[in-house]
This record gives sequence, structure tokens and C-alpha cells, in this order.
Amino acid sequence: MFLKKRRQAIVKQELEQLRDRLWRFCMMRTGGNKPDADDLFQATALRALEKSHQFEPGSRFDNWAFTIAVSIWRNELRSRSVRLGQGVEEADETNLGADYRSGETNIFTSEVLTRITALPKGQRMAIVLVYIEGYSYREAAEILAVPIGTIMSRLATARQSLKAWAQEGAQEGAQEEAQERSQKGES
Amino acid sequence: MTQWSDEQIIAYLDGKLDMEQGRALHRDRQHDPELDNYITSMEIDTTELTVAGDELLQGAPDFAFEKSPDRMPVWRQTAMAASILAVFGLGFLTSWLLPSDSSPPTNWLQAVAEYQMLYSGETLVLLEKNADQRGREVAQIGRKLDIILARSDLNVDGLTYKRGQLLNYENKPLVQFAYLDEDNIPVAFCIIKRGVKPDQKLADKAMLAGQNAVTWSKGQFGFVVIGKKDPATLNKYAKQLKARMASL
Repeated sequence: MFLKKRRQAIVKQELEQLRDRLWRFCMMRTGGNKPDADDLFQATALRALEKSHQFEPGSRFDNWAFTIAVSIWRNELRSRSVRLGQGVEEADETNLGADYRSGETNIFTSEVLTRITALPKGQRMAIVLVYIEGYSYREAAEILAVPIGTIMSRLATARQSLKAWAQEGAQEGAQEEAQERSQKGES
Repeated sequence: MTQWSDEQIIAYLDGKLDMEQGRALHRDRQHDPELDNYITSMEIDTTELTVAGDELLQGAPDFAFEKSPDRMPVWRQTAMAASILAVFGLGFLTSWLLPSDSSPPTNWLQAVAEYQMLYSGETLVLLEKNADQRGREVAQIGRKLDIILARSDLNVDGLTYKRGQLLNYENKPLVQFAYLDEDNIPVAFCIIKRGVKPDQKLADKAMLAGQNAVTWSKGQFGFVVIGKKDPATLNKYAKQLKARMASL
């Protein structure tokens, strides 16, 4: 009993420290859908506490918590798909309408986040884990329960998409700015 | 020539390929345009992703259980009550239930001052963006205000432009352009779009925490230049910006 309480106390403490990162991970996992991200965050926190006896003190709590979040979201999606009569495959959800421009988020940042969100789920999570969370390729593969080669090919494809979008954005921006300058000159 | 896998190329781009292989790939790239094009198609600035992720962290709710229970599944409502207590404990509940010390800002200037108070030189000094990015950022912000705004409209003698942010005050667009002076003291130029009001000339205002501000308004726009600088210097900055904003 004492050990169980002690383990729960450790998990509580770890959850408090991980709170912002776990929420960010949930935001990216749910394709930028804040209500879903909040739900996923809560469910993950609760599950982590319920399973606190399975957490090994000294091991990486963030890896463990992210793995729980991935699993909960996958199961949640599966049950939604079944209810909707769409079989049991996990939808490759994206939320192109995700809006990161509320609060203090910089416009440039919100563009980057929107582009990441628009990536197919597998690519998006590879990018998030490696370049935002700073995990090694192997750790990212473990969290997503896929082979490391899959992570690498997802990173390659995602990088190509991000590069193409950035180039398109730069061209459009340059055109718009030139147009605005010429309009200013005329007025 | 070696056949390079995606795994090796990504590791090369991330600087994680061992030195010998990295050199070999670099060499092959120089002699193989197809390989070079392929690698170039994947070259992105990953620090942009990291910075975007860091900014998203700032949007993390203080309390992730604050949503209204009526849209939650029943199991989550139950879970929520349990997890509030379990995760954050009595200390959080106490602070949640007791009245807060800080009352909400009563007007947009006060909101700007409170936000600006959090800035230090370090907040902005590491922000590096190229001219294209800044130009696009300013143009996009301008569109949110329904004005044509170019990066050069924001030039101020003695200040270095760092970034623009689109904020929101009571559902009105509020933009902040952040600058640093030669001593890395942050100064902000903010514009709010609200209902049309009588035009007001430049006016000095003392704000909280040692900040000064110079305000003016024109049509539906309110302007402020704010920072921990003496009123005369801020006035000088404000005059330049006011002249550039005269065509709005």
C-alpha cells in the first residue's frame, strides 16, 4: 500500500512537470483540435495515475506518458470509427482548420504549426517527436510503436512537404508584398 | 558511388551521420545532381519547428480541466473530478476557489502594459528572421487590420525591429511590433482596431512597473509606443511611426 501511494506521488509530480509538453503533444496528436487535446490530456493524466505502479522510477516519464497518449487516442479513434461504420482502421486525420492564432501565438509560428498539422498523422508525429520534442529516431519509433525505418521515411516525406510549402509561401509572400508596395506607390 | 538511404540522408541533414559517412555523402552530393536535388528537397530549417513548438507551449492552459463538463463523456466527467484532486491536489483548488489578486486589465493600454512588462532583452535578442519572413509577417498582420502595411513602415531610428504578433483584446485585433534599442531594452509599438473615435494627438502616459507610453489615435485605430524608456525618447519614436501611419 505504501509503495503504491509512493509511486502515485512520483507520477503526480512527473505529470505536473510534464504538463505543458504533454498538452502540446496532445494538441499535435489530435491534429490541432484543442477540445480533443484537452480531453486526451485529461485521459492520459488519469491513466498514468491509474497505472502508476507500472512506471519505473528513474526511467523516462515523458516517453511513458506519450506512449499512453498515443494508445488512448488510437483506441478512441478506433471506437469512433466503429460507431461511424467506417471499419476499424485509424483515420489519417488532419485538421486543416486548426487555428493557432489565438492568444499570443506569432503569425509566423502559427503558419509553421498549421503546416505541421496538415501533414498526414504518421509524418506529423515523427516531426513532432524528433524536431519539437527532441527525441532520437529510435525513441520516436518506440513511442509510436513503429520500426525505425518507418520513422526515417516519414521524416523524409514530411521534410519534402514542409520544404515545398515553405517555398510556395515565400513566393506568395514576395508577390503580395510587391503588389502592396506598388499599390502604396500608386496611392 | 554509394547508394544512400533516406535514413542516412536524414541523419546527414540533422548532423547525426558519423563524420566519415557525412563527408562521403557530401562528396557524392557534389558530383551527383540527382542526389543533390533529392537532398535539397528535404533541406528545411528544423529550428523553425522547434521554435514553433516552444511557442505552442506558451499557449498551454494553466488548468487543463477547465472545460465545461457538459460536452464531456460521462466517464470523463467522473475522471475529471478525480483527476483534479489527484493530479494537482488541494493547493490548486485553494488558488482556484479564492479570489485572484490580479483583476483583469480595464483597457487595452493596460493590457499592453501588462504584457510588455513581461518582456526582457533576452525575449527578443535571439529572434532571428530573414527579411522575407519579416516582410510576410508584417503584410499578414496588416491584412488583419485591413491596412496595407510594409516592413519599411515600421522602421524607427535607434530601434531594431524584431517581430510582429497578432494579439486580441476583447475580440478586437491588437498587434504588437517588438523592437530592441541599442541597449537591448524592449520597446513595443501596438495598434488596436476598434470603433471610430475622435483623433487624438500624441500624449505621454506613465504606465505600470516603470514603463512609459506615448499614445495617439486616428479614425478606428489606437496606437501606443511603450517601453522602459524616458518619455522624450519614446516621443521621438512615436513621431516617426505616427508620420508613417498618417496614410491609414
